[in-house]
Amino acid sequence: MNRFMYFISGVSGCNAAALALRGLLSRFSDRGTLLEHQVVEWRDGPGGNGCCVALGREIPEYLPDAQVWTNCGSYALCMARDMQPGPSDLERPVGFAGHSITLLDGKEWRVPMLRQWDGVKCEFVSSLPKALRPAPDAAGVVSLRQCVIASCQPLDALGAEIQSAFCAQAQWTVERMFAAVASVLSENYRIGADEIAHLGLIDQALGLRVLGLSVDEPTVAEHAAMSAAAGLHFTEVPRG
Amino acid sequence: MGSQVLTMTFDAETQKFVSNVLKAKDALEATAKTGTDMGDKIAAAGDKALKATEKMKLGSETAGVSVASLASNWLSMGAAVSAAAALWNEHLEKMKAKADALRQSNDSLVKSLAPSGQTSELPQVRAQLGTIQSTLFAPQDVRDIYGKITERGGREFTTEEKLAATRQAVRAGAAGHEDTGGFGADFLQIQKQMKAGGVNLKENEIGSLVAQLQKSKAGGLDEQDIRLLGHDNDKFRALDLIAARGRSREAAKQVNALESEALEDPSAELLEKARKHKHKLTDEDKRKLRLGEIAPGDRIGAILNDPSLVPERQRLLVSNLARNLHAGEFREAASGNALGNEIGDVQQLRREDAKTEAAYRAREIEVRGKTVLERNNFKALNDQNFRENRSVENAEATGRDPGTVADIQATIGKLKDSLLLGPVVDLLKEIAELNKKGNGHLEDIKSKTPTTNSRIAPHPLEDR
Repeated sequence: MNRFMYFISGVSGCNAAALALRGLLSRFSDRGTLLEHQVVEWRDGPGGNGCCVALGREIPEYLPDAQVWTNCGSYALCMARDMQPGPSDLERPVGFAGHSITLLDGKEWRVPMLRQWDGVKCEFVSSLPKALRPAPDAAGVVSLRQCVIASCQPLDALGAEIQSAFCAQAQWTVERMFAAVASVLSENYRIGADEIAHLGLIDQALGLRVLGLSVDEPTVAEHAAMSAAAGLHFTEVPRG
Repeated sequence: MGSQVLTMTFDAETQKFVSNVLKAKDALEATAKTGTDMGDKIAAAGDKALKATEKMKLGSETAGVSVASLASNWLSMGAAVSAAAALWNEHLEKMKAKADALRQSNDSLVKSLAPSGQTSELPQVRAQLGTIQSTLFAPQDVRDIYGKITERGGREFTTEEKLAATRQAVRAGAAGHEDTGGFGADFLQIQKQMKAGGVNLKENEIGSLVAQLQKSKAGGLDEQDIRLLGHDNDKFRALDLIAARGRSREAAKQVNALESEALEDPSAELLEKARKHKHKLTDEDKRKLRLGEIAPGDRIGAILNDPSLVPERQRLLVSNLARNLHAGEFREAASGNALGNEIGDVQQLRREDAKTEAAYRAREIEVRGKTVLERNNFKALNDQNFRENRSVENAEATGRDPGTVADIQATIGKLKDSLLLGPVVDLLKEIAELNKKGNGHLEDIKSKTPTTNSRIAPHPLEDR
């Protein structure tokens, strides 16, 4: 199993709180369940004394010649030089359906679909898990409505943000785009922006493409193509 | 060095599609919003229209009520106008009839005057006729008369109103003018009388005269009235005198009517006989009669309770007795209202029971007649016997002829009083025959003087 190893210098051990403090908890947990991982103290690690945390039962070893290390600030990230982890190594056991895309590593990654194109209504709808929730209407009458579950609402907000950006052809910085891609991919894979960068998965185009896939761009394109094939053209109604 | 910026976009076609879709959706939303706004506006307008409709409905109802009320008023007014028109038409017909009558009267007058040579009045009559014809339907006269009719409202006209109405009626040819209670006719009649009598009175004087005469119910004027008016400078004093005379005449008429009624009383004859023969009431009888205490055992009560007399007859007897008696006390007591009422009642009953009364009277007269005849026959025979006996006795005592002419004449006079002369004459004839056949003293009757013993013996039933 190809995996990432995380070295936290200056500490002899690391728990979930320490991982969360450094933004690494999502790499070692799935939907709130902490996965099996190893924490090993290294006296001569890449940054000196510290501990290494890695998933699986295998005890991580510090092998500078066979490993590629990247300093990520609060921790150092490492992967085997000739056996970098791929989608199959990082994929979460339970993820979100979506379109797949081949990234720069030559491997196919499944992008969680945050929005789905409704070809009938011609609008984007959330494709995240929903459940019935009491929701009062404007008149104060409480009724049960299908709402995105609470744990997915941040992701749903991200989907709305991406949708709005595409619809409005908004100007985003690359960093914002990259962070959005990392957030999207982290839903199906135990990776973050550092891992994506370390693996060299995306460029700008692929980044946009990933975000496009997250809002069901292929279906929209297909709908557009079908409309074009059917000779349907939008004619703007003169305002007045 | 700033961050690199990229445009979040799909591929060109997809982006164009999405943009168009979004525009379309915006347009739809705008349209929907417009529609919503329009809907809101329409709803608001609808609310306004509804409120306006409600107001209109309310207004219409109010207006409807007003219109209905107005219509009702108009209908009432229409009915009143119709009624007034009908009244006026009726009055107009009367006016026409009066005018025709007056025209005919004038024609007759013209014809009657023409043969007598009094042609000098013909132009006047013709002029009057022409005036009547020309003013018969003068609008102002019509309005005046119509106004008088409608203003009358059930009250009596004053004399002045009657005078004015009469004047209008005369001008319009409606001489009778019945709405003034015959005032117009009386006015014209008296005016004519005045003119004929050479008395010149003003209209108001004639009107006052007519009013007073109508009050006194004395009818028209006589010649003395007209002379009074002609010679008395104070016309209204003359009118008072005339009215007084009219009232006197009216009273006299009533007295005469009562008297004639009394004379026509079918029981008068019978009562006269009854009074002569047996109904000389004592003071006690009068008192009882006055107090209504007549008992069956009394003498007058025997009459009043005679089973052959019906109760009405009894009451009639009492009333007539009271009227024919001359005792002051009784007359006062029995006269007056009670007597008048009783007479009225008896007259009414008598009218109802006239046939029975007549039949009873005939039978009673027949019975009484027979009784009186028999009695007179008996009395005559008795007198004859008495006289013959006295004559014989006197002759025997004095040596003179017992039968004298005076005695016989006195007997005849008494018998005449019985009102049954026929049998008495027959009886006298028989007596004469007897005298002839007897002592032959009849030849000497005329030369004899009557004696004091020649009175007729009283009837056994007569009150002594």
